[in-house]
Amino acid sequence: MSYRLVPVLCRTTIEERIAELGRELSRDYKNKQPVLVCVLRGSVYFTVDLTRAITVPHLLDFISISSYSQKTDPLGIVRITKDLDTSIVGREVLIVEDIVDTGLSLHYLIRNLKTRSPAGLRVCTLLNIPARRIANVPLDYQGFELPNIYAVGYGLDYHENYRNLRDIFSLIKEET
Amino acid sequence: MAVITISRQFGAGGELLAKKLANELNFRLIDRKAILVALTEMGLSPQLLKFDEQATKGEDAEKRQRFYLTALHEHLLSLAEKESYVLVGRGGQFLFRRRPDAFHVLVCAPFNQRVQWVHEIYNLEKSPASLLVREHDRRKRRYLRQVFDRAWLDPEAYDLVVNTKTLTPQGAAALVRQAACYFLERNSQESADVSSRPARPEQNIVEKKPTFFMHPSEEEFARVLNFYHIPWQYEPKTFPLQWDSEGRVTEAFSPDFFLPDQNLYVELTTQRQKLVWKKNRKARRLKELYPEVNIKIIYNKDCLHILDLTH
Repeated sequence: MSYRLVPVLCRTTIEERIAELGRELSRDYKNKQPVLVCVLRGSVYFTVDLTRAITVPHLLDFISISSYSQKTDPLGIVRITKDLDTSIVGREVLIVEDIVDTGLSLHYLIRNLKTRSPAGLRVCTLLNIPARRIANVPLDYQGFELPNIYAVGYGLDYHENYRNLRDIFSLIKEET
Repeated sequence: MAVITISRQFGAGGELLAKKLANELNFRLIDRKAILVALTEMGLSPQLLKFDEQATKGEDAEKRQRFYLTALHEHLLSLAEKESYVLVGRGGQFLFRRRPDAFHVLVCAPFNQRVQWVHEIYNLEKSPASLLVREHDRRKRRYLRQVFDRAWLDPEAYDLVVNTKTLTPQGAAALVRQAACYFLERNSQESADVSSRPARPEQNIVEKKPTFFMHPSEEEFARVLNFYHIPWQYEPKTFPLQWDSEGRVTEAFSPDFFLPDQNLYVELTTQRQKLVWKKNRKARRLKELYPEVNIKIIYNKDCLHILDLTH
């Protein structure tokens, strides 16, 4: 099996869209001091650039949940592996995701954070792949809607590879 | 499903009332003991279990408390998807405050009366009994403020407030039971009104009942759904697609899964993409005949992706 990378979104397109999202978020969160929840690890790259495009005060925090592929949990249920350091009770919260495809992990995260009584909870994702959706999740802000491709680069990985690429590519598996 | 939450002032007899109510309604009683058993089974360490209904101070303790609360709230919410129960304390009135199938009761009594009861039941002098009641009240108020940022005794948080002094504990229990029955009746009527939705299946998140799958990929997919706490049902319904001239069904389609919370049927296929035209045709026909049904076919490539890396 070999892999081929086909360019999908170049860095300029990504930068421009993030700048637009930053303006939108700065307007919507004026005087609200939201907590931006970066979902580790894929969305770190997007979150960093997004926070620089937001002009209103906000707080940055990180959360990580176990993924099914890791199968580290003997009970076979999703777990928070790194929790928020801040309390979100009564705060406006924005979950920042790199990609939403099946929506399964985001669905769990929303349900979990809702139990902590935030004043508001919204989701911002860089990429949205609705063709793969299984769980209904509300997306309030999205960078790009993509067809059913396997995206890598700009934080998105395939077995921990390609995260550091500045552009976003479609990963094509080719049988040799 | 329904959840009846019983919040109680210390010494007002809330625990006894909850136990009696659960017995009479044949609901499970979720009190301190049941919670500790469930969370221990989930693998929580005894060090975390001490955070049960306790406010904390300090960053480290707050972090560990948050971990405990996440597990507790997940447990209570998942259980509410599966069965009806009576919940004692734990801020249930706030955790379930937006749910139409939850009924919230506060059991209270004047301070002096509670001191008197604590004095009698625990065989304590009046002065330590008074101290104990005061301490418990303070602890509960702080806990609910810290976890939910809500005022414990705000009447708007409750559907019913009973005073066990004026009503007597027996009278209060009878009144709560009557109110709960009235609420449950109304709740079941309202649920029946939404019967246009597919019937709610058994919610086998924890796979209480074993399911026999036709294909290993289906079993693996069920495991993914369980992992993310997504309720599912295996092959719950068959949709007729073609009939002969005498009205007999000649072709039908039974999608592999139904996800009630998503109102979505899912069909998995591990065949190669070019061989799935039959399933695609069936799905198209299903949409023509049953436009209200949502169905999704997950192809081999996507299936592998979901099992490998789920976002």
